[in-house]
Amino acid sequence: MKCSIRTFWSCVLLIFASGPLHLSLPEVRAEDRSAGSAASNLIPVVAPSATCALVSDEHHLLIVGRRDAQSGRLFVYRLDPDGEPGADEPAQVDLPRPDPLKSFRNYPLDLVFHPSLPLLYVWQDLDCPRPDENQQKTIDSEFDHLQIFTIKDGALKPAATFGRGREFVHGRELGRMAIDPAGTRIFLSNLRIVDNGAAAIGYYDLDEKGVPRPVLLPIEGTRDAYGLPRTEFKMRATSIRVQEARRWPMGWGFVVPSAQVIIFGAWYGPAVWDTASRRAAIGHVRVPEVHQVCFITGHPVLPVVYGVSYGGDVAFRMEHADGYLTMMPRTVRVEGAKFHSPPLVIKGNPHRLAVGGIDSVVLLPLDEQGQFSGPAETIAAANEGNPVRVLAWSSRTTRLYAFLNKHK
Amino acid sequence: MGEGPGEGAKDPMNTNAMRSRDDQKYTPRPAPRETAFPSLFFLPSSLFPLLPSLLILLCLPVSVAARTIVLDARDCDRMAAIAESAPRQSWAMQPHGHASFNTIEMSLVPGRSLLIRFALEKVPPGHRIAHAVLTVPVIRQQGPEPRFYMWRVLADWGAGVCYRYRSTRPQKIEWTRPGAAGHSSDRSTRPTDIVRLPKKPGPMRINVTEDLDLWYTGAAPNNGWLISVEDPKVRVQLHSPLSNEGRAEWKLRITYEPQ
Repeated sequence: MKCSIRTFWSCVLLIFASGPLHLSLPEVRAEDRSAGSAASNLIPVVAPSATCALVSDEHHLLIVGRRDAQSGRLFVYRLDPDGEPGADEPAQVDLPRPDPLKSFRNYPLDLVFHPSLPLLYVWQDLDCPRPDENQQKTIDSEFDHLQIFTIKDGALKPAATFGRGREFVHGRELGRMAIDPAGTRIFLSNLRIVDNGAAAIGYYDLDEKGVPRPVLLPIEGTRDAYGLPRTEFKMRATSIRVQEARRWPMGWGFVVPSAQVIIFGAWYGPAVWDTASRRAAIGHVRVPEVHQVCFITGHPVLPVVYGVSYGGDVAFRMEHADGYLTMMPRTVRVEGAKFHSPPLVIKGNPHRLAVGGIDSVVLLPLDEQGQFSGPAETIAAANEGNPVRVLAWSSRTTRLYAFLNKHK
Repeated sequence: MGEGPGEGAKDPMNTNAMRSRDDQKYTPRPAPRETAFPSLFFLPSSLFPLLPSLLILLCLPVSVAARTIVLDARDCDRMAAIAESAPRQSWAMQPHGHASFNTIEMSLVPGRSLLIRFALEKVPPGHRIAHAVLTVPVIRQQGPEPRFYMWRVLADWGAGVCYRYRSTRPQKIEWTRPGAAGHSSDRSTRPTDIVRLPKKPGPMRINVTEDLDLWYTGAAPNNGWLISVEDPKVRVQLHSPLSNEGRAEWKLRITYEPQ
């Protein structure tokens, strides 16, 4: 059999015209959705300059903290059975502030419920950029960052205040708290080492009523019969330096699987604090492709930590074992996204990781192992070109709340 | 017309007589010109018709020759740094400050070692590992006659791996000796290699063909390698396989061929 010239050259051209095979890794692309099951569960709430928000499924309340002209207050919305805020104006709860500091604006930064008691903990800060010496002394001696409210009949009542002293910083954009599942410790983010101003985190031990316990501290300049300093009980947070993992004392989130070992958000990835270890208290893992500080959150059931790069487009997932970060982190890049809020894991079918973006909320589907699976969804949340910085989730009504400057 | 090749003497079958009416109109075509094929193909002419098919076969994934792939740390599916001073941490790569560890670089000293496992799914089945070389990027070294050890890990390890445990989920399982130090139980009896470092640090290439062959054929489970320093006062600093800059420096070059 003889082959013609035409057939030969046709075959050659066919082979070379097919070109090299393009092996490209699948990239998670954000799909715009104006309608759908995820979008229909999103409730936009008008709360200009919202800094924090929390839903109480038990009391049917949505509590929002704001930093604006109406600062120093919490706004409490009553939710109907579908999770919609009522038509009435929200109740407003003032955050206490000492008289010498009335000229400065205070504002809430984070809210957290006690796991078993009807208590709400509020972390507040003070807007005082360059205090003089007297003002600084007043702030250190009289301004309490930690406010505790009781919840009764849908109303918040102030119960106690704590968190004053030189070890607490003020004037921060972000601050986070967390309580361990047993309710024995509350972890705080905005601390510093008094001697050198290095960034620190700390905790208060809580008693059976949910109130911080004082700790035994030496009294300076005293000696007992054994030559040891005399001691007294004082309210002081147990803290640790985290300057190497996170330069600025601000809160980027906690995951608290137990009172002993916790995970906190740091630069380029999460970090572990083993409160019982003196030789290896901090373990910082830098996640590849994360080039900024990151917000973190935990899966409600699985031993998994999620994080997003602040202002970036990378989300990551990492396992932990008893609070110790383990195995390799897995990252995913969401094309066109800019993350600006702490992430939330919202339950559903499938579960999703929700993060606020610019005029949008990004949802990343998760599989049964908590791995990222499938393309991201972007739900429009018009916010005048501003980022959506605060999200809240109700597991009872499966509603996600996004807090906007204005709702169209 | 009855033209045909030859007279009766050259036509023993007398095909002229058997030719039909259509055949009488048949005009044979000239033979194809062999000179049209490129002169580069110095092949017997009988193979020319097969050239297109051969070209197609050469481009198919099924190779008839050895192939080499290069994996880097991004192809690892398990990694950990375990240290005696941080007995429960999985990422105690490098001490930094007071009571703090990070993953910027990997600092090998006695009591601190690296566990690393490359996934071998990119090597297609039905082949044979001909050659494999692991490149370990050394940044600096200290101590008398610095060297590090490469061990094939025998015991399975997973989530929660640390100096004390090789796994903590679903239950805590300890190493036979802490730090995966058990010979013939946690790690192989003899090291894959003892790498003596030259005065000027740089990437060190280690022949790991035997280990890759054991894993690829299934003769041994792939639990990766343990890289450690066993000599006192020796410190070896490596690029971190988890960092953006360092993970491309770790290379596993595998050459495989059909069996």
